[in-house]
Amino acid sequence: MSGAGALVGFALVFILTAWTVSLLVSLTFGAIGSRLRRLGPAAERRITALAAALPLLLGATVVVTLVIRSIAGHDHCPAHDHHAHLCIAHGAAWMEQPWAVALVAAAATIVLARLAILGGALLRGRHAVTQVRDASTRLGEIRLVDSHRPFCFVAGLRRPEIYVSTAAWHGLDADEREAMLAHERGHVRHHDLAWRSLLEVVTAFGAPLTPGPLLTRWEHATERLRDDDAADALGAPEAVAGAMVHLCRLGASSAGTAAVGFTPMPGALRDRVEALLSGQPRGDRAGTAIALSWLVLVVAVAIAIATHAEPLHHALESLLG
Amino acid sequence: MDILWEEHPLSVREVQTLLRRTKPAYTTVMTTLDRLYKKGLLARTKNGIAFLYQPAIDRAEYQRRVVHAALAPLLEQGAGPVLAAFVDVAAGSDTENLAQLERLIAERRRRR
Repeated sequence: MSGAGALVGFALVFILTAWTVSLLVSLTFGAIGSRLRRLGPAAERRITALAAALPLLLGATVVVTLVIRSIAGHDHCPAHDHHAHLCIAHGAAWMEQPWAVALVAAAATIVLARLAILGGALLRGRHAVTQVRDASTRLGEIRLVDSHRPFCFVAGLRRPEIYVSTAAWHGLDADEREAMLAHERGHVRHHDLAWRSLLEVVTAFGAPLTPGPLLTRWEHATERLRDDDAADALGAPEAVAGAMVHLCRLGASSAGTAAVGFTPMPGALRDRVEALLSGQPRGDRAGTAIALSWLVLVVAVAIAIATHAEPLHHALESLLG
Repeated sequence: MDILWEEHPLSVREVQTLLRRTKPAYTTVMTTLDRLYKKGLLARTKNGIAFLYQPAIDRAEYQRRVVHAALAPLLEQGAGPVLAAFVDVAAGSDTENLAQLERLIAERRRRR
């Protein structure tokens, strides 16, 4: 009983830490979103990914510190009979706190539901992509799919491949096709879909409503970054912008097909075209500098947590117990 | 479908005979062909007490339907971690918006 109770206590600490941090991250991103964007897509993408990992990382750091402290035998319990204890040996009292058990159960349900939804989406997606691949013809580096719908996408977590419909392939001219493929090659080379899945797993531990905006921001930044990759490869940003607009034009003119649109985001096309034509910096250097600062900050916080385990322990017990 | 695209029209017994590798039961073949007929993939004509089946669509059209059916769920659930599309075609299909962007790009090309 003590083991299960302690588990509830430590889970409660994890939820408190991870959810608080994820809410703070969301509020911060809401406040500095436009400034972040001005740094460039590479910086925005990296910062978003690191921020998304922060709740899980800090939650795990606090819990691991408390567990190690408890295993090492540093237990202050005898002097604190008025509240439940955050230690493995004396944690049974958490099971007698209905609100604690209910909160942990609710949080666990949310996390498991998010992971189950992700797993289901990946399995269904894999099945669908297998069917599309079976119906496709290999043409060099791409898979050509006979379809009236204009589309081009990358699919596959471990071995990503580029799928292009015949409507898109024949509808675009040679330069536009090259621009489109240069964009998709970026997704393949950098394993963006695998990173996207990993990010979704990591953000699953955050507070309700916090993962969505972060994932959307990361996706937008990634698309703009791949646009920049393609523009650099071709030396012509307007060729990439032109290919995007032409593909949308093909979608608009193919009656009744509605083309292949994923998660409609009105304004996203204009946003990407304007970003390409504005010549905004990619933000690689800013991204690296911020990533290093982030690393130093996380290590400093982890050290602070480890060296202040005792007062942290008391504070959390008093707050939760 | 592969068998009937190669040769048609065929009766249930003839299709069963041609499925040498898996050797399904007669009733299994009959049920499968009936389902494909009800889905509009096969056509059939009565020949005495038996039906003769033939494809209602060609192989290319069949594959297009498979692709359409496979992509539809992805549209419903949102691509998320499954696909990374070059551009969100549906969201960008507002013709006025497209015309503005085309002017913007043309202007940029003129300046280069």
